[in-house]
Amino acid sequence: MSIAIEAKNISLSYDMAEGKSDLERHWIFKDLNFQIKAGEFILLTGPSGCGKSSLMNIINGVIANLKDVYIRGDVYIQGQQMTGCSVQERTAFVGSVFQNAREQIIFDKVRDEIVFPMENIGETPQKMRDNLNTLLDMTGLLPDAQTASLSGGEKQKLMTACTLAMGQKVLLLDEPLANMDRRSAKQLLTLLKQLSENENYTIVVIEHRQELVLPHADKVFSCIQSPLPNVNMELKIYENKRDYQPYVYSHIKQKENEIADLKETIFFVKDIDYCIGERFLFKHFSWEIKKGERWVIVGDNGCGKTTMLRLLYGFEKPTSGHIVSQYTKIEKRKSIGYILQNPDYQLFMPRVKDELYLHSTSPEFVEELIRLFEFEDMLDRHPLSLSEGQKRKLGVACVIANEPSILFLDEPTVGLDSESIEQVFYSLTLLKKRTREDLTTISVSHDKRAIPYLGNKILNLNKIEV
Amino acid sequence: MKKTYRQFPVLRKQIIIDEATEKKKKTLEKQVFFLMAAIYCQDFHEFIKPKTAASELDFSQEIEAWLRRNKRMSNYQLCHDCYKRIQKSFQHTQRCPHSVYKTFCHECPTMCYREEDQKNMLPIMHYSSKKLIKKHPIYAFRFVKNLLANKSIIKKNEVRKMKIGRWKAFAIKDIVFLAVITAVTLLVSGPVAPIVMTVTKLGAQAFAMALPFALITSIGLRKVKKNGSLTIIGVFSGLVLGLMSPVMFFNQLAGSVLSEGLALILFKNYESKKAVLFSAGLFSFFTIPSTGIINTLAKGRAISEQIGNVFTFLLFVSGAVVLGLIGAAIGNKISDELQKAGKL
Amino acid sequence: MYKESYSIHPVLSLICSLLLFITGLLFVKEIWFCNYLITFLILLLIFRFEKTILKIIPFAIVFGAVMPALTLINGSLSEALYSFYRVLVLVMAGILSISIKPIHLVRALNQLHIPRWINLGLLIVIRFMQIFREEMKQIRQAIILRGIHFFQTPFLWGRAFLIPLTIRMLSISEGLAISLETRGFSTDSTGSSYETVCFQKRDSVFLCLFLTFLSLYTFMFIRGL
Repeated sequence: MSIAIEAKNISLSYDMAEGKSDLERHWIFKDLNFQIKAGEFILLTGPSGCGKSSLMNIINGVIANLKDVYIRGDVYIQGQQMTGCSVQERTAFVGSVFQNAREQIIFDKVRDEIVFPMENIGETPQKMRDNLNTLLDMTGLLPDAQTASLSGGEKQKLMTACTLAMGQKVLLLDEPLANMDRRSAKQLLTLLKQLSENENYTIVVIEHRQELVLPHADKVFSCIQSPLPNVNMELKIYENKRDYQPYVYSHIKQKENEIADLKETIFFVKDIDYCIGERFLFKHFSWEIKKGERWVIVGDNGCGKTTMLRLLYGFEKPTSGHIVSQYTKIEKRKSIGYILQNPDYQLFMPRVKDELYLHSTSPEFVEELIRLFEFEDMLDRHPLSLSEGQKRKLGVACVIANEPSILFLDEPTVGLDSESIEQVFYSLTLLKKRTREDLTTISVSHDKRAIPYLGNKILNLNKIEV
Repeated sequence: MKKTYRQFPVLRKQIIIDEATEKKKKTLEKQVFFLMAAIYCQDFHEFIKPKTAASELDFSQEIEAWLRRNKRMSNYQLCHDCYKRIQKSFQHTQRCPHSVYKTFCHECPTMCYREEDQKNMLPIMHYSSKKLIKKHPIYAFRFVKNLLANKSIIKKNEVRKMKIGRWKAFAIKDIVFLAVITAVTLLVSGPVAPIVMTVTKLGAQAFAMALPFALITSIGLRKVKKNGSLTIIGVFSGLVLGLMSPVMFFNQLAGSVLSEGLALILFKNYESKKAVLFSAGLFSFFTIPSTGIINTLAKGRAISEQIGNVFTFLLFVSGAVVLGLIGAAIGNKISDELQKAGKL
Repeated sequence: MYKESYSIHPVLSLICSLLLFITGLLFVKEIWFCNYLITFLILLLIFRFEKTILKIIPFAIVFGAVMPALTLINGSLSEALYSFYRVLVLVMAGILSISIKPIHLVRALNQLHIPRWINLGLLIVIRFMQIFREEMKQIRQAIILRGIHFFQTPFLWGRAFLIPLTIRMLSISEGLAISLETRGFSTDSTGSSYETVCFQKRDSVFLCLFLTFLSLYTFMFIRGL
């Protein structure tokens, strides 16, 4: 079997200082060597922020556009050396699919979007039409469908179809299942597996939701902590996927035993309906949330977890029925803390210190949080210069510093390493102590390992009949 | 004729070389330089002695044959220095690898003359190039013809653009960011636009849109920093607004071209924040003249009718300038902060 | 070549829209102005613009009420009437230009050898206005979540709005640029076209009728009839 992707001694560093020796420089990864044969389906996995996307970006050449980086080593795709080739030159050999399909679609109709890459590479109209029909059959999309009304899963399938339209035999996919529900995810993975087995496509998927991808993968490339002090990660290759154990958190404390106090109801969801367009997310749905309870809303992507939080807060109104709360609108806004999924929307002050002390009620509590999240060295830095994980922790800390008595958490553990997740859980415990056990939390999470620590009452939206 | 292929450093693509044509080009070049040096020597070195007639000096075979054919050329008197310069120039011409597409020395990717030599050669070029047209028009004409042919070869085959002066090529990420900036600018000034479009007094539109336009476009200019960025924003916003009201396209285009043109004349590029402040801040203001002209031509409304109350008009105009500069200053501040945070 | 149905060739639509706009504003004070409007309205109805006309009626009503009202405050009844007519001219020109689908305009411009990046930029601007509307809604909600009110702390509100907006602009445009590059787009290649936007018979008919009526009214205007 021929070699599809070969990497020889690839090394990556963001440390651009000149004149440093290899030992002095700080590397993300150093001297990685691997070979991927044609027709293989590889799962590339590891903790958040370890460098998986950077590795993919080195292979497809995109890394040079992102930041100033120091790269060494050679990449060969189907035997051709890629060093010095631009992104456009590499697209002849390797196709890439990225996450956040919503922000990549530029046309109104599905047909125009799929045809766009073929126009770019100068295909004849006849070939474009044939390819288009094949891809529409493969993905199950309709040619005249409006791209704005597609679901998250369908949008991702559309972007995959765009890449397949270019005809490359090597595909790299960066977190393609992020916004997809289980059914769409299975469909996409089945399609990729068919291409890999029948048409000899080489597929590399970077994904956190390993349990979905593992059944289809041939091999697993796992990013693990490197033993070298100045290198972040190294690659461990599992030729047999059965040898691979999915990533678990280390050092998680034992769950505390809690007694749920039955107190007054703070939210009463009375027989609500909620629909988007023609699709009903909730139909005749009722729910009661009492003070001190700790709820976790679980369910597939797109089933309405975040929408439920927004309905409770008051950002959305149900189509019919109503949500009764003992708080007025103004009181609600003062006493509910809402931690958003994307911290970029919430951080805007010039220094980390300013973010934490904005609207905080007691400085000692803020200092306690600073010690817990290890922000002491970062107080004078700009919040946006922090890493993704640090920004998420800062987002959590800012909301908790206001000592809300009701806390909404939208996917609090995504993108955090195990130590940071533990810090987040401990901060919730601290807040509970401050509010004298009256803290009510409603979390949204699809992280199975974190759910037991976020709450003891589960609302499974998948099981609700619509 | 035997055809060879060569790939030059400037042109990525391979082009066919006809050796005979190349030889003729080089001979012509030598002849032209000889004539220019001879004219220069005649006019400037009148009193330098001794001078020798060209027919008695040593040159290469073709040049000597050419001199024998043309009595006028062989009668030129050359001093020793000019003879040396001609010899040096012939050497460089013979060795030049860019003769296929050679234009001017300052456009050449490899400058083969050292600084001391340049001091000798440049005065000859500058002085004699004008005189050559009068004294030897045919040679001048043939030289210019070759020059234009070479320029068209570059244009047709150039893949990697030569960096001439301050105009850098736009990358996809620049175009995309400028398009996103335009989208947000139109969105932020969106609520104001319909109301303003119907107010018929000159300057009201510019006044209302000045702040949001300046704020967002200044962030775009700070990120992209390339000359022509504001014009691109003007083209995009003009095209989109033009779909609603055709006249807006001309307004936006004229405003952006004038504002950016003036900023670049004053500041040369967008490296300094003042250039960004000026360019983005006065974008709205510069849509006023074009609005007035278009209204006069297209709608037949006199300028005085458009201005209406002079006091209100002056208020609108000065407001557009002030609000524009304030918006651009805010945009600059935000860009400074994000630059420090490493995001811009 | 796969041909899709469309009303009028996009470039022709643009040119006719501009001509209608200019001439309409010139003819506002003529006696036969209403005839002029009705003629072109009938022409547009013949060519199946009824959907766009229905879409534009709400705007026509709103501006048709507001503008004359504003003029009436300062001026006379005739001034108000003329301003109402001007709104109608804007509406008429708008019908033609709004009916253009961006994708058809882009394909037509590609055929006119206008650089592809201009066309792509146009598509991005139109598309991402919708996306950023949603982003701004999210940012405004995030500001509410942090307890910041515009009237209490306007400066802080401004920061809380502009900084996340700029960050979102930067990250979205970066992701989009990478996506376009990996889908083969480059600024110096020409590429091919899936469908050609051809000048059809109905476009010629429309153009003839349009120019006939326009010349007739222009003649009447010049002659002072």
